Amino acid sequence: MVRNHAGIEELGIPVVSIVQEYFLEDAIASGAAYGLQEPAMAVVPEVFTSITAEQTRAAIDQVIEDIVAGLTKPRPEPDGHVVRKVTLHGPEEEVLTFGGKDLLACLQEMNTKFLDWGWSDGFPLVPPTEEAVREMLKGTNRTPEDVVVEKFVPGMAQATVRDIAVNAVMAGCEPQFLPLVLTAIEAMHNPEINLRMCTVSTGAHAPLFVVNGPIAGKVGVNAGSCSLGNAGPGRLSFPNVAVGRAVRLALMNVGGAYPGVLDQDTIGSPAKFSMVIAENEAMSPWEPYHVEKGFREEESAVTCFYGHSLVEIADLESDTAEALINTISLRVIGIGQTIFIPYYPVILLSPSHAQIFDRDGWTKNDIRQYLHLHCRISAEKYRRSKSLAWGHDRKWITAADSQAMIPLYERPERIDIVVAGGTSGKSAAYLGLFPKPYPVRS
Amino acid sequence: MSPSNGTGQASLRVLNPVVARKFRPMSPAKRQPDLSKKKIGLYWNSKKHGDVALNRVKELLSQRYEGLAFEWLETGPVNEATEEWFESVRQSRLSGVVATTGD
Repeated sequence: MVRNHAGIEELGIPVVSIVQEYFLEDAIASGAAYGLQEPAMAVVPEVFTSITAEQTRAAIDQVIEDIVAGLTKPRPEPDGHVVRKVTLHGPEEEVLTFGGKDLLACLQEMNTKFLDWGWSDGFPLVPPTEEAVREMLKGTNRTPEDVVVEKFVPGMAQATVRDIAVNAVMAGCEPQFLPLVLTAIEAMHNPEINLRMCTVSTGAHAPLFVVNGPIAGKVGVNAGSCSLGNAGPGRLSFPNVAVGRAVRLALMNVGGAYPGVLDQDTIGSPAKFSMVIAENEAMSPWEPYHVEKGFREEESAVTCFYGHSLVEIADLESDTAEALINTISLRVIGIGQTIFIPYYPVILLSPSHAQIFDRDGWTKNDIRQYLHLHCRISAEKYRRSKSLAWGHDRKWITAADSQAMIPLYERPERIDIVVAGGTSGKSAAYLGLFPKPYPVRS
Repeated sequence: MSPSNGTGQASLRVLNPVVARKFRPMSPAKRQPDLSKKKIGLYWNSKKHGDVALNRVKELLSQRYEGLAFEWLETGPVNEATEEWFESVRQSRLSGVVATTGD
């Protein structure tokens, strides 16, 4: 919201933002990200959604003088250009030195400080020495100064290959992983994905990345059992873990999406640490996901599904497409959104499930059409969910008969299907926003 | 990275992973000391009780300034403001906006 407040102020219209105390640092950081150095604010103690209407009115009574002052008293003029780190915490020097009785002590000191400053995801980090970053940069033909994204959301700093490489080192990536990390970050900035909303929302959002094409095999991105989650057995899934972790660290240290600052999750999600998977193209009965989206099979691509609610769909019994799709639809309807944020499910269909559909002559489109038809709730329930209060464009639902069934997913073509994981008859579904494959550049 | 050299001390030199952002802060909008007969925007973030808060602001400002008018502003549940929306706000000739944020 502060982004929009800055936009109004830029029009020459004074803005006063009513900010809850916990969101104060967020508001200041958001203001800075959009060029508003000292936003006018009235700070209230509690979030309005958690208190009564009467308490809300009383809270306004307490800050009305601040609101009047913000509207009528001159604000301080900023001093020229500003160069500021995307966090207010920790030192600004480009090179940092840590001392100790031996290298292990130095490493522990670095990890402790990075944790204190909020630069860490909580796990021990690999030290980003100049040598390690130089080595990491060998993983790409792109120059270190090449711009990956002009404005890394939500902090809006420019991100170069070198900036990302530093965080990839900390995540434990090998140089050959770097092109995947860079592409994942580009894919995350697909304008169709509302990355700003995803990163600063009080709802926990996390990116799921799907890798397609030859790079998956070349780098060793796991497409089989245990692809999501911890590495193992052995090195299996290590690229999955490290690539996602690098994106996460870059989101914080380059994008400024620090927990409790710009990232305002109410509860949070472990999915934020890392979710990277390769499509199991070898065991899929259908063309690969990226080919379906217009890529050639020999090209490599990364797709970002930014959303939430990964759920397991366990069905070891169904041996027909009709039975299996019934199980899937029951789970998918359970994670469906009724508030109007247009999440759509990506179904991570295990190879054995995909083969049941294929054997019975079902295409991906049949699966989509079934889910469109069967993932519905009554108009009465929809209206009771208060979704209509969000001012979206499904006004027709206000006139629908109470028992009329409303599709959760209005546009079946936006339901995605990716064949993933091993062969044990367990699929999964994840809600995401408008994915689009991005080509991997070496 | 320097291993201990017999002095009992070692040091580790690393690159700062945090990126610096270069920007020129905007000048804040000029404030008008008296809001009588002016128009104020009330920008609701679509969240519960944000509208209650803004309506209370409206009551209190109306008591304080004679002839003060108001305009209700919204940008929907995910608050994506388009260029067209900003243009409509510009054309509303507002002397200020009070906005709810956070939750």
